[in-house]
Amino acid sequence: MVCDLAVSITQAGVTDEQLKGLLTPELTLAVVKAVLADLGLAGEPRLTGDTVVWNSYNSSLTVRAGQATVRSYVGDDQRISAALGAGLAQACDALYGQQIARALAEIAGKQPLIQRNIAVEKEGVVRQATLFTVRY
Amino acid sequence: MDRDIRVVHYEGTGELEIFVDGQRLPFEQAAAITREFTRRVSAGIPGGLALLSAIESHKAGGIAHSHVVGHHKQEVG
Repeated sequence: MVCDLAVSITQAGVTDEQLKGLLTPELTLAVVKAVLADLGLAGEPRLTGDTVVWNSYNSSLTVRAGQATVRSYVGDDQRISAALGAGLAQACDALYGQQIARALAEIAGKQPLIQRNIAVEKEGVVRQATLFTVRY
Repeated sequence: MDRDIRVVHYEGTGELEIFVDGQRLPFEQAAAITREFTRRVSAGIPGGLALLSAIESHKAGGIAHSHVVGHHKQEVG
């Protein structure tokens, strides 16, 4: 019997080693759950060792150490992997921001750590940023 | 006299812009400090100490007159 189903595979993930190191398997599982829910995809992802695994009728994915591999028989792999890549990057970025805030709070000691969201324009491009100010 | 550090964290990139005592550090120095900070935190050094020591080792002139011990500063200079 000839199988006429073609599987397509797409990979996505966090490339920055610094940021990738912040992703725990548990956090990755939470990100995958949120992304799948946003995409309206059924099925519960689970953690197997340090790898997040998800299977549905026609697609599947694994995520380990910030790298996602999505397989789909219905061409859904690019949509899922793009959303996963963005979700993982957003989670890493938030964690990194928290790490910076904690470090500056330690430096501040009893002094206040001032934190505010700002928009910075560079060469015509406006970028969102967080400004931390500490005196010690 | 109080010293100050300002850090701008650009969303989505992990990029930091660092000002020490009002002086903006060049991009290359800020990038080196960012890498050093992450390396030291990964090695188990408390974040505040990791950041200050990373700045000290990469900023010309350094911040040689104080260091962080846990949550408390200690003036040594």
